[in-house]
Amino acid sequence: MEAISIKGTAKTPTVEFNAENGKVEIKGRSIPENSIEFYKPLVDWLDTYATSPKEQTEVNIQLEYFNTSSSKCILDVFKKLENIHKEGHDVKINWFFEEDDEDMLEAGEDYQSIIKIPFKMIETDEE
Amino acid sequence: MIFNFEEWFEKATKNDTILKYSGHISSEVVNKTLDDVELLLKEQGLSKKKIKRAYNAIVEGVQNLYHHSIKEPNSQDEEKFGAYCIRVHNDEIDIITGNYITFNVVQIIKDRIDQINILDKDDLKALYKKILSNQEFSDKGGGGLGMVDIAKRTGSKLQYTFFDFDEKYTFFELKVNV
Repeated sequence: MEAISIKGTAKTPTVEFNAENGKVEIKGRSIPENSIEFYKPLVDWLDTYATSPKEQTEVNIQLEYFNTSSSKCILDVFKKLENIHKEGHDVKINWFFEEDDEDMLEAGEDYQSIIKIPFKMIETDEE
Repeated sequence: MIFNFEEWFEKATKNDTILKYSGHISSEVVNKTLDDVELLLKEQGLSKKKIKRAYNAIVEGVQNLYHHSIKEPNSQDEEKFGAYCIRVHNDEIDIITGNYITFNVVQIIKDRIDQINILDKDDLKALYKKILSNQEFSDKGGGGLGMVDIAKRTGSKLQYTFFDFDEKYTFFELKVNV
């Protein structure tokens, strides 16, 4: 299936979804007014990917900012990944947060408590 | 006393204001605000954590205006109307937004904010997760999550004032301190 590759903007993240290597990445800022519009193709892509996923899917989420409109959409992404995991496929979620950004760490922990996939919290150096 | 927008705006923006706006609330205005405010916050010598928290609260506040503001009552102008003001004083940031609402939603907003304001950090976190995982979102992305998020991140109470305009409309001021 075709990969998704979207360049980030001031309000929307860089997205790389690749079925060939099983990598799913969302990086940057996610603060659009209408997040559903942005995330729908990503959620749809994961639906298709879920029909024949890689043995291991690696998910990298590295966000600097996200608004509440995006938070539900990001949860939808995780729910699709949770389904893949439930079907017995390996899914690894890496949640990156900047050093000292306890709010972003907490946000990752909030998702981790809702989604039944282990998260790896990874601290990165400040830019 | 009848509400006068110009007087309200003048008072709100009198001191320590780094950015203010009143007028149409369009997508372009939101974009420009978020670009400008980030640069201005960085010039204030605030900690990175404080800037991030303030920026998050400003995103939610300005996008709340975008989603929920209505036209100015008694005006020929049909565009959504709102105002905001960002003030910085002694390493503290005040974010003030103002918009007209119809009188019938005053109690709903008041109840929602009162409900948020009595919660402590752990309760806010629990409520945030509950709304996030259970509640259907409207097209506007609402569900009250924005205000819960602001309260959760900033750790401060949401201060509101409702100004009577006429029998149908009320002006809603929301102030958050970071």
